[in-house]
Amino acid sequence: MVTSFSGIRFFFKEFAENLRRSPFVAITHGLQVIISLMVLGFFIMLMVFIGAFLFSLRNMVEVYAFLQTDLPAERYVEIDKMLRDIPNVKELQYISREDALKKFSESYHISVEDILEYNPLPPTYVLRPTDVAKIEELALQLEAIDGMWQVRYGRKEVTSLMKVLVGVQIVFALTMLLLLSATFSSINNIIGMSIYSRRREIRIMQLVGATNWFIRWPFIIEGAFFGVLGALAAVLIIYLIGEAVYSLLATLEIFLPTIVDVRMMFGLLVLGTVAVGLLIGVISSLTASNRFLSTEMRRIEEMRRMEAV
Amino acid sequence: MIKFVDVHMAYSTSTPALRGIDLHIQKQEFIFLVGSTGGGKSSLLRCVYREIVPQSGKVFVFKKDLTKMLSREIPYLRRRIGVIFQDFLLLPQKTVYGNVSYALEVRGAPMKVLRQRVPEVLEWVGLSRKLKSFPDELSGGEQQRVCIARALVNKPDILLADEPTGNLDPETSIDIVELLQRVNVRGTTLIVATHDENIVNQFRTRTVRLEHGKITSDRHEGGY
Repeated sequence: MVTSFSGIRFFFKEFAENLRRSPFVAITHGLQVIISLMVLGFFIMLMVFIGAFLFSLRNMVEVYAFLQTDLPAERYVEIDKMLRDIPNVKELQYISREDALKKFSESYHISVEDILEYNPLPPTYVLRPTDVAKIEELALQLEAIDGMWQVRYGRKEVTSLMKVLVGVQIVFALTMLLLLSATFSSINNIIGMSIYSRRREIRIMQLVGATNWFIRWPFIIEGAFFGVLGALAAVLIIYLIGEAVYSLLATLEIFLPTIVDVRMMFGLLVLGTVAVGLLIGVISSLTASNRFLSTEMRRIEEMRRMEAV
Repeated sequence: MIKFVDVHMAYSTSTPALRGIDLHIQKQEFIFLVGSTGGGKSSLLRCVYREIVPQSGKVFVFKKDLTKMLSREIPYLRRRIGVIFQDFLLLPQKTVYGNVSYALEVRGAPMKVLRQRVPEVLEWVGLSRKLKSFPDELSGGEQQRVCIARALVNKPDILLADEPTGNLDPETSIDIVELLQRVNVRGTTLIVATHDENIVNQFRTRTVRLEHGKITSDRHEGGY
């Protein structure tokens, strides 16, 4: 592969030559890459926001376990121990009958004890599951405990949330794939055209004994260049648009809830988009140059036609 | 140095390009390949620098069987073989110096070698005053000299010339073949495919005639 400084110098010289030769095509295709990566960047941002929002919803899912009111004191202690030993529980909160009554009275501005002359509210445990997908399993586990009166967790809402989460993940995955394919195809086209416009040089290179890797390198550099430049331009545009939107919202005195650390997310977005751009650039240029170099017979046919002309 | 053993080659089933070729070329030989257009001259040359592989038979170059050669070995074979074409195959956007140095650059040769070797070879072909000229500023003969310089800059053991005088006037053609002859005298095996009768008759060297893909004659010091 690359063996010397002169080889590397040659690759960059050839790469510059590629750009110099067809600047209009380079600009057009460069814009195509920027647009694809920009849409991809926006999409990643949106995905992170929606993902974070849905994740925060997931964190809000709670299971209410109401105990019977007439159990002996030692049974309450046993149940408390059992609940604290359940594995799929991230957080556990105990609400005594007195606290429950106080909370109820504060919420509804009614003194239940004055009306009923006793406290009807049971001792309650509020559990936050580690894995929301296993909430039903947790509920069944709780229901099986002797002394449990009722278990509630908003079965319907949780099921809907899970469906939405899965649906959103599938839509995101498909759209990402589509956008990545668009970027891949843009860079692939640039390199394909670049190779086509340099087929004479490639033929000479092959005739004088250049290895296939030596022929590929300038195109790989070109692909990486378009990928990284496109990614940087895309994140710059996203940053400028983001800043403008934030300023506008601030002027209108609309403040968005802080779901994620925007600064950190943007940093990750820059790294992610540049990495994706670089990777797609390299892979697509490798594919394009391999396709050209492997079609030996077709090239010879073309050469024969050229000679006939 | 080059050996063809019962070589058959066809671009399509109906038109065989080479039929049962048996040919042995010694080191430092100078050979003319003659015959009508489509006779198989270019195909034979392409077999030598492994641009095509025959359907059957064997081609040995530097004692290596090219029909069994791996793709990754081809560049190293071609570094020992120079090729010249009728249409020059020069890069119009590069100067004479650039075109010749290109052959060294693509092999990753250091600048020091380029600076020493390129002017040397250009002087040898008589183009030392045209280093900065572009191909379209040169005559046909000069362009072909650039091609020869590019082929020689890597000091090849074999030089293949496919109709090198096809685009040149008779006088320039003689100059070019004289130059090629000088290359041969320096130790390079030379094969020139041509249908230029004057040249073949003037230089009187081994002449192999190919018609419809078959060798019809192989004469030492033979004419057209």
